[in-house]
Amino acid sequence: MNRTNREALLSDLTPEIAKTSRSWYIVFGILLLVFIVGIYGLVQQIDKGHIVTGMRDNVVWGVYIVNFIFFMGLSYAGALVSGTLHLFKTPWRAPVIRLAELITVISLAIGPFFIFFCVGRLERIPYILAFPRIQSPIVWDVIAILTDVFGAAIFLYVSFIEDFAILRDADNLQIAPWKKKMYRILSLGYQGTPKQKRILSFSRNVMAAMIIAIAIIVYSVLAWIFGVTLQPGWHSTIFGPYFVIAAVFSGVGLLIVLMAIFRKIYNLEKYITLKHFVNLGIVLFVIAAFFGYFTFSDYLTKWYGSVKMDKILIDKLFTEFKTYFIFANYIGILTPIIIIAIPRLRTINNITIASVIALLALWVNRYIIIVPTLETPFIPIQDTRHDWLFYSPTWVEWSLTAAGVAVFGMLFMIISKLAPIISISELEEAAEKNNT
Amino acid sequence: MEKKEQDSSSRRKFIRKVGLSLGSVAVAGSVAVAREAPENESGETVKLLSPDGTLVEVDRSSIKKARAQTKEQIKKSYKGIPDRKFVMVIDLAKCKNARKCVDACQEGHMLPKDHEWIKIQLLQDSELASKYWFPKPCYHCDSPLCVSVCPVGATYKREDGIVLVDNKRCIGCKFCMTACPYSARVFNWKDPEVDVPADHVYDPELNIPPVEGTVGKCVFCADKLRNNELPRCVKACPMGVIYFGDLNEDAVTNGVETLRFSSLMLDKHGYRHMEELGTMPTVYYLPPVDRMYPVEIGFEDLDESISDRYRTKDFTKSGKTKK
Amino acid sequence: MSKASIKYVSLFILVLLGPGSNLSATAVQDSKINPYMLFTYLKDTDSRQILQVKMTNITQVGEVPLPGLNIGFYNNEALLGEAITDTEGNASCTIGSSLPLFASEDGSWPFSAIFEGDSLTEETYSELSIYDVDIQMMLSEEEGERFVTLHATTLTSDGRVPVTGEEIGVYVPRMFSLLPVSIGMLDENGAFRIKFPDDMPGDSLGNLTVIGRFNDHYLFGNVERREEVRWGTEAEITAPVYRSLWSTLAPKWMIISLTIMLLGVWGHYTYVIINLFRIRKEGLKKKE
Repeated sequence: MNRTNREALLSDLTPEIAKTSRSWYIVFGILLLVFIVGIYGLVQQIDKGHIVTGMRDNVVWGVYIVNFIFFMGLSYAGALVSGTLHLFKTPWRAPVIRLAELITVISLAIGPFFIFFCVGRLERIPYILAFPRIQSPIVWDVIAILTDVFGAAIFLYVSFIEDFAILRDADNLQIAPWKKKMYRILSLGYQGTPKQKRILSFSRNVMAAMIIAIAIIVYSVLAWIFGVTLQPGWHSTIFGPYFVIAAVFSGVGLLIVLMAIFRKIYNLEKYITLKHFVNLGIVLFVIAAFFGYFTFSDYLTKWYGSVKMDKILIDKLFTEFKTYFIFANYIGILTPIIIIAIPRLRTINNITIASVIALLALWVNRYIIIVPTLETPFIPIQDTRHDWLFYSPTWVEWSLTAAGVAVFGMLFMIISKLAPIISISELEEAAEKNNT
Repeated sequence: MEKKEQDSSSRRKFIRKVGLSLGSVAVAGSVAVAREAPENESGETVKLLSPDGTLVEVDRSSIKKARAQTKEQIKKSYKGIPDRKFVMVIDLAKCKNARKCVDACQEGHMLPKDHEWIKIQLLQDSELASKYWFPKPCYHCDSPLCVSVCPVGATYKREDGIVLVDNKRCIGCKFCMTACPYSARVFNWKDPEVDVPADHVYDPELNIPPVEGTVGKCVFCADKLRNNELPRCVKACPMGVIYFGDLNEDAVTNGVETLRFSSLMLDKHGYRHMEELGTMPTVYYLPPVDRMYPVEIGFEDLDESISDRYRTKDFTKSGKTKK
Repeated sequence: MSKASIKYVSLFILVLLGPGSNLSATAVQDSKINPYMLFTYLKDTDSRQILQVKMTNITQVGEVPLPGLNIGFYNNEALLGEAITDTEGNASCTIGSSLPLFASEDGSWPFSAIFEGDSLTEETYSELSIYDVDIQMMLSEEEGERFVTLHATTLTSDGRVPVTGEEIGVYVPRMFSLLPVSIGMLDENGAFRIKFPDDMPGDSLGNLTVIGRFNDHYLFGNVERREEVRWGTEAEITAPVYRSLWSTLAPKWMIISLTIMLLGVWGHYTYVIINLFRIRKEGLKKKE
């Protein structure tokens, strides 16, 4: 093993574990504040009831469910991306694969909370496990998410073992003793013997395959929560694959954004290069094309056939929700495609901006899947208070949404202090391959 | 002063709610303890937070009794009435939006005024067709999507065809509300604040009291049916619009006249609303032909807040009326 | 007092007031319920004569039964009996057959029901004048067709004479009410004959009750004759659905595919976790 190479890697990647800058604390403090505001909103909601949200008898699901699908989407996409990159031994995967794995686990930890916020009686959540009806897609979803949580955690841990061993053995690393102890326990006595290597690599392959399969099933199940109902705009056979593609779209977008952020603040320019942005940008391009194609074919068939309810829904989308629709389904899809398609535009900044737009567009896309459909039920909304006709999220919903994003950031920040954000072992392996 | 009082009461409510979830853990524990303890242990008391926020001591056996009674009621409500298959027929030719059915339903089930289990829609099938009043209860479908999607079995279809909601089980996920294509279900967005008689035993057939954070809907007045009585809306309707009966007996009645269901369907061309959805409702409609009243009569003597409900097209998202 | 309880008290007051009253909170305490008494006469299939009363309060939300009211039943001046209304507001009194009833000059029996009033409810009374009538019912089957024949007679000074030209009906009892099979006029012989439909649902054995009846008749009140007969169609007992999307138990294919998928996935998880222990064991061995 190349000793100097490892030392170089360690000295580049570990300072963040050893030291914590003041700006880290400031950013963390701000996020914590956002989180506390969210908690205050939650307390209000528990105290006064769901009346403090914008949801009413017709639009019974709002921003919470949008966030739920969005975060779960990010998670499955992280799993799908990391699993695929690993399984197909993509040569440039080393610096990005851990970020994708972390996205999986962290957004998976956040997503379900939005379901909890949406549920009328929080204290009865355990009933789903106590009295499950397996005919209900919600039960499928609970089973699927629990399975996914375990799978993603195991996959993440398995991919961390080699790094824990490296960190444990790095003698001149200036870190707190408890961190050393943590690495020692978590590395499971990994010494890099051939047998250990073989077992570990096989386990990683198994988990990568599992995680891809589960990601597809689980996100389809989530889509079927909407697909199995008769609601216009939801009752669609395309919804399973459509949601899977949408998830990957957002996941790749987020991966690129995080790459840009960590590259900047943790000085990883040497490892995360334009090549990675372009490669992932091409993935984004392909997915965006698929996503656009799915979206188009879904709306085209609805519009062409013009069943009464579909027509009402599409009319609503192109009038009241016009801006949202254009942003989500035109700008959000075309921007990444154009930027990647023209080689001259493929700069790190441009690709990052395209990813941010794709991310936001996908959130809005979720919003205009959920809300307009609920505003156009089969039997027209009547004989109900007119201030209940339309949905607009209240500050409570926004505060909890912001809190979700804040927690995402905080968890990422904490983890980046406990372990390197880029896999040292993967980089080492990649370097060895280059040398031979 | 009043504000302060409100604040403190809401704080108490909050404590109550948090206490409730913690309490359920404690109750589970106490039940486990009670199981080991000999039966009928009187004199032993339990401290409880009463609805007005004060601590009261209650004999443990009385709590156990009340809980057992509720359990018994819920079990009974699952069974249904043997050999019955209930059906409702609504004669659209007679409805004039008198709203007595809505009132009787809200009164009988202690519903807040903005909470309807039966709604009166003003429908128009196509642009050139005329409008008509359309009472819409729960359809108690034979293939109920709301029941299919419920994750905890809080809503269930009984053998007599009635679909009920057990609001002691409901978690409030609202999936049933999105699954129901007829918007028959309503959600308790806030504490309904009803004063329930102290000796009232919860029964899903009556569904009193409404519980915050759970779903409610028309129950075909299953409690009345147990006594061979007609549902409240049927009795209340001054026009005899709603007929109710047992499909197995082939008879429906509006309280005044009793007719054979089959001949009513034959003579007046009964139909089910949106048959094409395949949910198989048990509520049938008679078409609004040879009407007894012009549609406009339905707007007479309505509160402005109620008549506003039929001008939904005039309202925009910002809550203002269109010009 | 909390807002909600005020709301309910005022609602209660509204109920007390009934329709048409002017809302005035202070006047409310003194005003009493003005009850509505529905007084009916029934001569049942065993020729028992029963006087029935239903006491209700008619309010804006419908009829509210008035329980616990003491009703006196009279024939002319003579007290026949007393009864207290039940939770549904019903009270009834069976007239003893041995008792000779007072008849007025035209041959009818004058009955009255009286409620004396109490602290909450106003007094009220109601009168009925009933002519005695008898119904004979004959069920017959001729060439596979079923017929119901009713004969009505009344006792006059000339002896038993047929009742003619009055409305009578054949009914079958259903869950909430009587379903009229046919309603028509008695002919000059005091007879009414109908063909009974062959598609009337009965119970699981096809049994049903046929009723010949003067229903709420202006001269005779309610007079009926009942008979149980196997003339109905057998009710289909639909087997309860055990496994479906909406029943408690799930369809088998769902359980099977879910189990296979879960076993597959969790099996792999277990395998990987076991592998982790193998790595650890290997590491410990190396250390030694």
